[in-house]
Amino acid sequence: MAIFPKWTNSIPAFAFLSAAFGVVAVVSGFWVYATPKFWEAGYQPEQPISYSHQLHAQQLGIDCRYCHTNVEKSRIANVPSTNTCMNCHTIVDAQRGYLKKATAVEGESVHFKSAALQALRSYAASGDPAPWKRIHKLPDYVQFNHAAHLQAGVSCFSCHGRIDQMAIVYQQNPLSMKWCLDCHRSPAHNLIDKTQGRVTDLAWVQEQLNQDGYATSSGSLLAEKLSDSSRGAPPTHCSACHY
Amino acid sequence: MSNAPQCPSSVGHEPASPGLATTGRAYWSSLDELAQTNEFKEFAQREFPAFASEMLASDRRTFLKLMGASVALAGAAATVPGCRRPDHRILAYSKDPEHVIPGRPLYIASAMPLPGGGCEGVLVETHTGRPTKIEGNPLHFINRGTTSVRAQASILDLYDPDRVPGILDVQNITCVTRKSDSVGEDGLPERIASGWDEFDAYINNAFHRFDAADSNGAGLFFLVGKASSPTRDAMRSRILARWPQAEWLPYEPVDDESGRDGSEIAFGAPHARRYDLDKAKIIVALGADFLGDDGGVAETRGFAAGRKVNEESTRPQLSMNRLYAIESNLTLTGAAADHRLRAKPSEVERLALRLCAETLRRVSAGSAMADTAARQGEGELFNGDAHRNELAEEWIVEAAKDLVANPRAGVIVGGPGLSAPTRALIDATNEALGAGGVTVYYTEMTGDERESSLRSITRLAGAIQARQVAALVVLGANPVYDAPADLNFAGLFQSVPVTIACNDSQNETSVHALWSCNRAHYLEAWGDVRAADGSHTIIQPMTEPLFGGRSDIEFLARLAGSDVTDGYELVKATWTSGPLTFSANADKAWKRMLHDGVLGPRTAPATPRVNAGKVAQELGAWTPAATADLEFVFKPCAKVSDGRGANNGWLQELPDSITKITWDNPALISPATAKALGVKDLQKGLKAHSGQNVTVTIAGRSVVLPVWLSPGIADGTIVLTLGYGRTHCGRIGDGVGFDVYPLRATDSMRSASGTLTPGSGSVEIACVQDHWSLEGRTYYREADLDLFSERRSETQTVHDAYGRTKHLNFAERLGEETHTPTNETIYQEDQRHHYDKGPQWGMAIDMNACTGCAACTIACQAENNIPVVGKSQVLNGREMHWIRVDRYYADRPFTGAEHGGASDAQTGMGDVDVAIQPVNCMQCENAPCETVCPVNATSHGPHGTNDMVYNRCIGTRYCANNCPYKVRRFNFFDFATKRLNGDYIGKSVLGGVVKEGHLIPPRLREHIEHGAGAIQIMQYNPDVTVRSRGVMEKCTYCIQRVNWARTEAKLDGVWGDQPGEPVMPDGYVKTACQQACPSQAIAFGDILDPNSAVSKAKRSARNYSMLDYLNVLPRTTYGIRLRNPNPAITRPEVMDPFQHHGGAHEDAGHNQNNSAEHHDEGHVMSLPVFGNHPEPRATIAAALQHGIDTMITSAGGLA
Repeated sequence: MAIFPKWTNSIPAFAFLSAAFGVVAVVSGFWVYATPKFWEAGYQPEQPISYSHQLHAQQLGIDCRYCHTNVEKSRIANVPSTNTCMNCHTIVDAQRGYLKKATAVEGESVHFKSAALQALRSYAASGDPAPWKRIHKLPDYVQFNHAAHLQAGVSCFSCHGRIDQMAIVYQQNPLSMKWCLDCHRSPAHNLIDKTQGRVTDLAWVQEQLNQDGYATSSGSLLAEKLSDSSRGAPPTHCSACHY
Repeated sequence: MSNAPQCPSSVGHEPASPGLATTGRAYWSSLDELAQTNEFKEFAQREFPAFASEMLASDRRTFLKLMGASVALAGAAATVPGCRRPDHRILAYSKDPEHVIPGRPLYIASAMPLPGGGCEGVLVETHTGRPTKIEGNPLHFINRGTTSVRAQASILDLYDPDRVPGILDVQNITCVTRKSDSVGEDGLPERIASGWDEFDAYINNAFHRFDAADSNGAGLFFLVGKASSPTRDAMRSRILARWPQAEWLPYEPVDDESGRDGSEIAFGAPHARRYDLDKAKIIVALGADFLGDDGGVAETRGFAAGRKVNEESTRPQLSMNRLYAIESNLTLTGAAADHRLRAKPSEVERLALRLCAETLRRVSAGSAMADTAARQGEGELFNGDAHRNELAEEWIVEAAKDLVANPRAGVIVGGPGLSAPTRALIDATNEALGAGGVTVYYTEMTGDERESSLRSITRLAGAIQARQVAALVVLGANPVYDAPADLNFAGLFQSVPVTIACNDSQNETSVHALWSCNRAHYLEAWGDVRAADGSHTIIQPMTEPLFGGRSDIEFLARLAGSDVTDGYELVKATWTSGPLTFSANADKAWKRMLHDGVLGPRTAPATPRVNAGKVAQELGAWTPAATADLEFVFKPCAKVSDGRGANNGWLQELPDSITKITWDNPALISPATAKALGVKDLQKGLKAHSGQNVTVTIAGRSVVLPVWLSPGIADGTIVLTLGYGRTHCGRIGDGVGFDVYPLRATDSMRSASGTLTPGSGSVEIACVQDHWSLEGRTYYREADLDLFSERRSETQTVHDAYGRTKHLNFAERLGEETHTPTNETIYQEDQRHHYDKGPQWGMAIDMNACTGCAACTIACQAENNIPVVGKSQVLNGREMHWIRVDRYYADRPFTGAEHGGASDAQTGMGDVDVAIQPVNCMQCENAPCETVCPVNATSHGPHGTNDMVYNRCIGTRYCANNCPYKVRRFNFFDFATKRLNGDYIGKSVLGGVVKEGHLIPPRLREHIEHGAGAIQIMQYNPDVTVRSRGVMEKCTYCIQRVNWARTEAKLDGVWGDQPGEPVMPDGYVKTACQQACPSQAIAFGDILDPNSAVSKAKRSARNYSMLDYLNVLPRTTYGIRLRNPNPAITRPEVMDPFQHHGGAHEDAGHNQNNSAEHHDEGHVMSLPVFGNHPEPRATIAAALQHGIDTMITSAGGLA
């Protein structure tokens, strides 16, 4: 007479399998969901002003550096002051030539009366800063320098993606340490000939970098030039970023 | 290990005494080490003292207070792993200010006014309008790019939350308070929050009566801190124009009264003296600490420049300046001196008189003044000790001869402790030596400086007593705390009907005042100031007044009822329409002055003639103070000054340059005097690291305070340090140390006689002299100039411990490099990094120039966000300074066996020499810390820096254990508190458990948010990570500056990209310590560039590596100190420095204990854990024989 019914014989096997499955699930779940790629990439918060890079950068063709003025001078690519916005939105109209492509607003001052810009106008009037939500954020113990990267010939595109196509900005890349090091170890994939002066022309950059064999031809030439006598090679030691 | 070998070849020896190091001399850091007490051995043996790793329980409240105040929260990094971080806002400017680029510092030229007049010219580093660091202005004549300790620390005063009373409420700052009629719990009147409007209305009303024709301001008194500001002088004129009968009394508690009075005797009007020491060959300091309390960065720089030896010179005899010092306390000047006499204050005066007399006689025989001086200086000294009197006589004669032999290149510097006639005599002697206009300059004092502080405060006290004072305005002074005790000023102050105090922060005076106003810090207000050399600087504000304060000039302008009360307008008016107007194009000149931060002296310095007759007459009519058995010296603290720096955590925690005491001011006493007075020492049952309580009585006034045995102080002298025992300065300084102002009276402002009675009990003293002990290993090297001149080009070729051929220079021959037995290294040549590509960073510290002022320590603290830990933590050995300044004593058995029948040698009882050595991370190429880190948190960069990755560190502290230089620091607490109050995933869940979703305990949070923290984080350098609990940290060679310079050099187009070319110009990057160093003792740069300053320093025959035999290849090296003694003066016998084991050197001599087994493999300091060593087993066997430590055993198992 059996105290336990026969089906109980399968319990150990079932338990083992469940445990194994559980472990795999936890590990792979953690692997995927606890990575910067999951948590960081794709972050797209709502901003206080519904500003569209797609409209301004792509359609109107405004250069990145018109607003992010210090990107070549400072480690921080500054968010423009409200005044920078108001340069166009108060006094300049399409026909005065600041805009490459005149759009639907031709002939009028730039959305001077638009309701969508109510928020901008109120910030401009009050003098309070617009509380932009920060999207690309590295931990405090990581030091990143925009100027150094542009100087080396790394385009905005390499880290931020086609930000000129984003109506609402989101984080495209994980910005994890591995992701940084991948490029620092083989920069040829991301180097652009900066003498052409088109580092901020993201469409052109994308086209260049996506050419077949770019990394082995032009890219590697640039990388070689950069790292000549190892003086300008992208650093991979700890104190390059952590201090 | 206390029995660690001094030298690798002396394994197995018990050291006979501590640190029989190099130069044949014994160096010791403390009397405990000298006596090798059990406490010292135990302390040194532990990396940190007992219980250091345990959570602090007893004094949690103090700890929280400190944490909130000097240390605060970092920006909130994501701490919940994987969670989306809290929302961060980017708040851009609404309108971009000109020149401000976020992420790039902006340097603005300004000046820090010094108490009593004068200034330091500074450049203030600001980040988007937030000042974070003070640097010296390279264009300023005083600073020349360097800074003092106080200038470095002044940035923290700006962010001192205790500048305004009560709890800081950012929305509603209480910048003015009024006394109420009710009395609070502390026995003081409660204060009512008020504002400037109310204050102005009150003044309009209450001061109106002084306008009446019968008053004209009679009864209105101003007690003001001295300032040398043209605009403030103009405000004084306005005040006195409105109220001609009002009295303006400039007052500083610690002032050079005798200097002022002495120059009045000598020149007929008060003159300020300024010394150009770089032109002096012979310097005699008579009770003057010109490298410390009585001088500034200019004196230090000048002195250090004269210490530099031109080694390129082909002349057989090299030259540098020679410093003689006579003093009571052991000061930095005494520490730097080639010849030092210690004597009681009254004896210093006598010796000074004799020295001047001797010098004057030698310049011109038959000088009447010399005879008078000699007569006044007569008498037995040193308690009638004939031998010492004889030596002192010889000393005086030889010093005088030396001065006379170097015409126009000698100078005598008189100290404030001397009397006025003696100071005048010194001026006369300097004139006779031709020093005027060469090494000493005189400028006639103007404005506040002309007035005597002592007369001011005495006059005020007298007027209050006579009920003449109707209203008293105290501006930038704290007389209730620091007025002479016999005036009983605290009581008098409260009897004045209307008292108004306007001070940088609340203090003992302001809590009693009817009105207390907040004065603006120099970084937040317009002003101007005249430097000691007569140049002027405009003080520019970096920010709006954080606490709504008004500057001196704004405050006074309103009182005077001026139409213009704006600081900028007032200052600009002085310079563009006042008497100092630029002759042409005033507007352009004004802008130039703002930009440069300095405008040269308007008038050339004069060389006034000394009125010899008057000096002789005054000298003859005066009676020098009689010598007492026990004399007391009052001196301002080198850190907190007269007490005004007491609420500055950096200053409080900075070890005193000589005593190495933090957070305290015990009475200093020489060991011999302590013995004579029956003060307990360690042999007689005193608890380690504490001072016995004593009662000091001077003229019937007593204070109980602890006493600290400090070698090198004159026997029969007690040194009392002012500036401590504050009761109302804020959370940092309240109750720190002991107030000795109650002992100081109008007749004893600098010294006094009295009694000292040992009492019961003791006070723990946080003295760091035994911390980070190198336990007697060879660290410090020095030599006499003559020996160096003679033998500097000799080299010695040896095969070093690791089988390499080395050519040892002079400095290396002084150490153990000459006889290190063979050894193996775990660093196989082929596995080592080859540092052949530039830049390779290295540092050279010139101990010949270093005076020990510790500006480097504070500069480093400001630059690198180094926290303050508090007294209890310092007692636990947890201070965090990345660059420490070690101070060692070495006995100088000056009196020898003749003195009392017993030798002074090795007791610390007699004369001592002082050795000073700054120690930061050596950035070893073979870094021992890196090999033991289990997580690779510390590793080597390609440019030779030993990098520390905070986010990788798990806090095992193995690295600190393995560091031979003990330069690593551990965060035992979360000094940088994190805050998590934004939006994050799981906030709703967490919020249910923790109030408001905060992850920090409520009490601490309350303190941080409503207390100090919020404001203090503004000081942090945004380029440096704020470290958290459980993380190791150490000097990084300011890697943030190095990295920024790399980028900047490329952006600037100065990056050298050709092979063999230096990547950036030498000096393009400076470390914080190097930049601040007033004596320019630190060189930093690319060691592969043969033309860099650091390469040149490293090629010097004076250059050596500390603990070279360990083969860790430190990047920081030292230049030995040279002493320049006068050969004519009898000195104790100094052993041949090349025979530095105290006798003829033979290897066998080192190995007596195990000579039988000793095969001269040397002792294995490192293990062949990898690589193919031919005979690892033999080595290990040898190591076991030597019985070094247990690590060998485990390695044997591996093999």
